[in-house]
Amino acid sequence: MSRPTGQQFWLYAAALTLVLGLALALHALATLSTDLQRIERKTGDLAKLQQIATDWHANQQALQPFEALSAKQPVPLAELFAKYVPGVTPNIRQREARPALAGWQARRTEVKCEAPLATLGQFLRAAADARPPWQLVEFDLTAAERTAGVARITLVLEALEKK
Amino acid sequence: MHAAAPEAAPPTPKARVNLRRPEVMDLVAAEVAHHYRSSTVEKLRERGGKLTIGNTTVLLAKEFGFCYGVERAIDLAYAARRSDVETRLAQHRALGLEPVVLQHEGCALWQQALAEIPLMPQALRVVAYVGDARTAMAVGSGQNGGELISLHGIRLGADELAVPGAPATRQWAERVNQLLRALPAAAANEPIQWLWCGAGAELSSRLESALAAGERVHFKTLADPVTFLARALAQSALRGDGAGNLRLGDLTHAMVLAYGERTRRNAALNLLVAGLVLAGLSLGWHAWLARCEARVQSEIVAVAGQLTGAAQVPYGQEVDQVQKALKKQAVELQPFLDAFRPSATRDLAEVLAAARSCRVTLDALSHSDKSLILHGATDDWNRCDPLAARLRALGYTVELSREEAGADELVRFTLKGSRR
Repeated sequence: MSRPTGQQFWLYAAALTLVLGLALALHALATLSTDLQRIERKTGDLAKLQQIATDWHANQQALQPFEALSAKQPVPLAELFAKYVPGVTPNIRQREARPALAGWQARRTEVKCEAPLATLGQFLRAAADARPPWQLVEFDLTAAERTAGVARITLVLEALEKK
Repeated sequence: MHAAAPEAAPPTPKARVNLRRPEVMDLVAAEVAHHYRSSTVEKLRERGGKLTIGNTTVLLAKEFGFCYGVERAIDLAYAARRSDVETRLAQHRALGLEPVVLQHEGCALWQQALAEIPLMPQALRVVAYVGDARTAMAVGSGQNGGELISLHGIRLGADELAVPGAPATRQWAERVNQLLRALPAAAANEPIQWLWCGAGAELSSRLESALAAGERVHFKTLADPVTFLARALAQSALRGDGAGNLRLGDLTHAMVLAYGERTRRNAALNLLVAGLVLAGLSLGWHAWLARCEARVQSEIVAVAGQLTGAAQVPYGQEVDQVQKALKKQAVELQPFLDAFRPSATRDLAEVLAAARSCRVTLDALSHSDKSLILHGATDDWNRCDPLAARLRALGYTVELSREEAGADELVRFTLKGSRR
């Protein structure tokens, strides 16, 4: 067999390039569906993550008002009680605390006393207006047997405080 | 571009020439080897004339090849053609001409007739060119889209055939009839489509009478018969397929060689460009897809890292990891969200106000996370219904139970409310 001339060499090289090009094109076509599916799946994941991030950031806005407060501890309930329900000494007991983000925790406090119902409203309003606010989560009122308008009261209030 | 046979001189006895000269035979040997020798046969001979592949054995005949007489005839034919072509070229060069194509006129006539006149099916075709001093004939059949059978030359042309009463016409007709009788036996009864061309086509009626061919032959004069050969040669040269060109091998014109080289170079270049374009597009497509994927992936990593707070999130598990991490954080976010929910104070105030307006006495009232229980008494059976309606308006599912009472007794009741 004679050796290929320069021109034949280039013809073979060109034909080889064409075969290579065709092979690459066929490979690209063969993997097209898989590649597109993978990218589509990733795009779906990204959209899901972005939605989660949007929801999460919206929820985190709830943290901002508390971080903006100058006082990071709630007003003591004994102090408020003394101010709005004078003459009654409540039994105040700290209960469980739930951990919260950024070093905060939600502390529950139980207040037990026997007091006129009329004074209770003022106390609860003042507790809700305090910063950080107290929020009434449970209550149990039982009418006093002998005095009208007076009840045995159990209140559970919760407030956020910085640890 | 010239016909192989220029207008010939009147017939004179030719001097004998030695065609098989050493310088010619070296070239002929190479040409014959190129056409008739087979590398496969050479290899078989090297292996002793036997080749076994699997369960198949190929045997080469002991006396495989041409006998001396055939070999000599082939050599002579090649040498004659070569010598003739060289002589023609020398004649042209002496006139200061370098023909690009030295075309065999018979082949050109046949091809041009095929292009201009449709073939008759199941018929022979004769293309007869009557020049000034000679006649050329191409004979073929209508099979396989036009199959050339033989080419002939007669040293009688229009100059002699036009002379009335001269024996030339009779000699011409005898020679043509002799050629027709030599056609393959299978075609003996097939009709013949006879096409006239050349300067002597105007003598066609006289020549047809001289032939006395009968009804088997259908005569026709080609359009513009005088220029037909010129058209045929020009078209053949323009086609460039080499059919009928006698300037082959080392006799090929430099321009034709350059054209061939340019064509091959262009073909190689086109292949190269097509290959590079395909490869480029494929690689570019892959790169673009990879870039798209990388961009989406980097965004996923960034968002996942931001949400989980981790430096690295396992590949492909970003959504799961984020959901897991946020589930934990969601518990710690809940107290802040709860702080914005309506307080139980609202429910307490509403219940107390409703009890007052319904003139209901409450003995006990308790509220925990999702339930509310009221115990009380009223002087009328129906008075606690508006209270129950009020609780429903606050979103509670209410269950009311009342105890039977006498006419002067208070009706004791229990209201249980639950909320999702």
